[in-house]
Amino acid sequence: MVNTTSIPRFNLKAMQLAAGLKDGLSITSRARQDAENLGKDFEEVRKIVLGLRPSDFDHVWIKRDEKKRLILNAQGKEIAMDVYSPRIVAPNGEECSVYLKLMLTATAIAITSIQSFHQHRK
Amino acid sequence: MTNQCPFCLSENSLQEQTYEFSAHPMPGRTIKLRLKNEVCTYCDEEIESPNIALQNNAIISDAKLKWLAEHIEVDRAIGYLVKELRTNLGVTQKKFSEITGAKGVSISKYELHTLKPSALARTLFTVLAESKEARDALLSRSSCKAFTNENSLGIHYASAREIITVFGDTTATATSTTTGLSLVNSIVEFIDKTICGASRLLEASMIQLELSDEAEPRPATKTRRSSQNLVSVY
Repeated sequence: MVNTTSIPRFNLKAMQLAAGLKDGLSITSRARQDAENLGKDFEEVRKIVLGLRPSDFDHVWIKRDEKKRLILNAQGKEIAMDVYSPRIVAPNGEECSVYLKLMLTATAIAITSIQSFHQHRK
Repeated sequence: MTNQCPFCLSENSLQEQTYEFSAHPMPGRTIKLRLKNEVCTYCDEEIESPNIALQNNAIISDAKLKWLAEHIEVDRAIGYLVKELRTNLGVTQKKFSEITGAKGVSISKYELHTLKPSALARTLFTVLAESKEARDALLSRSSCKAFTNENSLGIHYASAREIITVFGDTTATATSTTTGLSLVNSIVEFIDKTICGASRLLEASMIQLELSDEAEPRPATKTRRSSQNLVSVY
């Protein structure tokens, strides 16, 4: 579900600092597969995160169920992620913007989690 | 707090499992792999925690290198192999040039498929791709840049030959010279090793001759220069 607010939920600098750490970046299996299909490995995805600019921010994504009801986390808060649209060079050599959904989690250490990495769907 | 889902923050909800991953060593080619991940029993998200992600990176990279080494005859495979090899070692193109003794921007050109490596370089890259021990040995040795001036080709002979001898099956890799350009490169190598070796001997003898007669011209110098010009193939 798209939230049209133009204010990101997470501090981009903090996310980039966490992503810069060797053990500070996690990725969903689907995002890894999508990135691989776009010719990007995990380290290249990390570089894309490190190269994100505030102007790449697109919207805030909020997790909801099929009836559009909010899904809350264990602390009773909504699960929100920031969506960025950086431009990358595809395997065919053409530039395209990708859908990059990420969040900053503070468990044991700050981790930037990538949940989606794919081309914009039509 | 280690077993906590990063999305829903549920504790003790992550369970380890494996999933099928399609890796692409080069465009249009797919290899199937089983990778580890963790699934959250509360929100159903499948995630690779940082440690698992790093382990999976190594598995994917090794599988790609193995596939590329086995399919080295496929068009452009060598370029992808060089890039994957460099990524696997975690070094820049400059550093990779230094540790393999490659000259100038040849690594960049291999990766961009604008240049095909010589037979010796192909063999070296194949051996490195097939053997993790060889890659570790290459990384552990210090820069061999100082030795590259000893020969006129792009790869440091002594290092390459040593690695190939220790870690590779030279009889199997010798048949890898299939492309036109690599054939040319093989000839260049042959010339370098035979004629240039002879020219060096000739040069040495000419120096002795010069001592006796300094007015004599030096035809051997021209042979040496022409062999150096052939380096531009790299």
